[in-house]
Amino acid sequence: MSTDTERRLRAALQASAELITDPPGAAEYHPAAAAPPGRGRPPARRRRRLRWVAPPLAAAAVAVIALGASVIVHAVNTGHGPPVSHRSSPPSPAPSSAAPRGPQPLTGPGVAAAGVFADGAGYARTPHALLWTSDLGASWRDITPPGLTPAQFQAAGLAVRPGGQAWIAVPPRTGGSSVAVLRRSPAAGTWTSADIPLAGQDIPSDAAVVLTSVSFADATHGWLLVTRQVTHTGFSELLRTTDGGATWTAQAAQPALPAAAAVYFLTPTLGYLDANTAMGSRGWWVTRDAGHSWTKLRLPAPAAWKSDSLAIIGAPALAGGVIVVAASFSTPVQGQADGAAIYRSTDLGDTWTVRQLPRESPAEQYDFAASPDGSSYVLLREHPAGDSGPYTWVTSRSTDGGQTFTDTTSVHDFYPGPLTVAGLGVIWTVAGSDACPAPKASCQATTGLIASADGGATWHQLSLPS
Amino acid sequence: VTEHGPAGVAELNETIAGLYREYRLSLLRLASFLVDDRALGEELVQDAFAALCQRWTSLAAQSAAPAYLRSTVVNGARSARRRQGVVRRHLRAAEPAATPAADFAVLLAEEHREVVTALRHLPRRQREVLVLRYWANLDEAEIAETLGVSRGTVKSTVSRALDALETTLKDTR
Repeated sequence: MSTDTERRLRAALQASAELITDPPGAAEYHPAAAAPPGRGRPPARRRRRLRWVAPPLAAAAVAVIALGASVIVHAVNTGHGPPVSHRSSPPSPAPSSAAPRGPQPLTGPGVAAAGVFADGAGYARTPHALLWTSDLGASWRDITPPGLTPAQFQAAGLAVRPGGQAWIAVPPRTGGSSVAVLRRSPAAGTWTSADIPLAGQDIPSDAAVVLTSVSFADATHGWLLVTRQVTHTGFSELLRTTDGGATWTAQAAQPALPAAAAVYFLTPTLGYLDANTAMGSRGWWVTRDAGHSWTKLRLPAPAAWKSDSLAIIGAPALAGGVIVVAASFSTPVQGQADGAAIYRSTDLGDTWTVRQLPRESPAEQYDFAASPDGSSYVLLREHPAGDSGPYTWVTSRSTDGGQTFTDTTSVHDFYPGPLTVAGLGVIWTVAGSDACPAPKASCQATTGLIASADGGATWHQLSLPS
Repeated sequence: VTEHGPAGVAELNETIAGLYREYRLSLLRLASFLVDDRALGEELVQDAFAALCQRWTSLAAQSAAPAYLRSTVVNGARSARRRQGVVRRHLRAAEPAATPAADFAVLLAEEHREVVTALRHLPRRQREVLVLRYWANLDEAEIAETLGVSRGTVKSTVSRALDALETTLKDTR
């Protein structure tokens, strides 16, 4: 019955295999200690996801080794302030908790990043606009800077702070040697641009992908990470501002700085680098001197877990004056996360206490966020029934500093993404749907901003202007 | 590796190098079939060998290394595919021009491309068993060991996968 299908399958796989060939020298083995970047890395688990290092972009022909490229889209630095009140009337209908007709696409413009703040303000980044809300997403205002092409806007790093201060770092054009940093004054509602010259790494610009990441610890202290990626190698440099982005000075570069994808500063001196990239680096790095020097972040593994299987979920957060880090643990053979723990430090990372969460069945996706006031920690996991849903979300929320967590389960047609938490049950996540209406129909890729006002018990999609 | 003396390290490196030469390309193809992305496949293979170095002393025997590598690649591909799917779909929605183009299927003859396309639309496990069965030429026991499922599950999954593939291919004619 299947003979012809089997024959066709074998032939197709064989033909495909013949298209996947090795370039000269590819089969040479480099021992880990002497390996060039990208080869023979230590087997630290990839961070499960989100702070969004994109998969490799180009490589038109399979005989050519694909260029890896990354796009960073991240939400940065939620702020302090009074907790937001519970909203009882969502702006749009709640999604169905069951999926009787198979996965349905999310509606509205795609969302690449979003964040919610304690005063009910928030932002959403779509392919063509930066939107601002002051009422938990009930209404939105377009605050997109003028003059950027869609490609420039989409490739830029973004940081947004409470009150509407924002910075956008636009990578240089091919052959360029400066980053354009746009900063928004919320009082005037205007954007100011400054060209920031780079140190000029000896890299052919037309062969590199340039990534930018911006982080502000407060209104004046900010960092700009610029990384040029050439296949599996990266070259990063870090610049710093102490005047809100008007002027920038070089702070660190390689070899003191690993090739990294994203920077997160929690205070004017304490910051973290996410070096889980395709550029040969792995792990997280920390600085305590405003970015001059960096060391690899090492967290103690809880009992019964292997330290080399630790992977940070999301990014370190400052919550009520405490540094909070969530991590998952896995076994290399199984390749699935099968445990999680919450680390807390009250001395800015000198010492850590760790609380292991109950072991559970493997989850496919994780993200973690803590509200800046420390009132709420949220770990969001997703258990898919198949490749295209439905997806069971388990929202684990703690309101006692991570001592105890309460799980809430809900079922959706879409999977959760980057998470922000504003306290008192307000949670936003950028969700995605890969609805495939029929086995051989094209899957419809959509994203949307999904919000909960009750700690994850119910969720609804926020309506964004097209 | 740190558990070995200098001579042991050299010997281990030589052994791993031999395995790398012998299995790298087939593992790369396996990974590429499962994640549709050669560059990502390269990463998975590199990670598998790095994991092998770390776990070398805990392997029951050197002969277990190929199976270990295969399992690590398949499991890594499973996680990567999920992650890749999420990120790509977000990218595709947010940045249509940034969709990766490293797809070997575009260079295939039409008859093969139909099959590969149909294969990609199968559920994850069905796709895994078909690739392991009809490209890696593993038997049911080996597939069961690789995926961590029973032989019965492998048998029924292969059967369902072939039926689904056949149906899809008939519909495209």
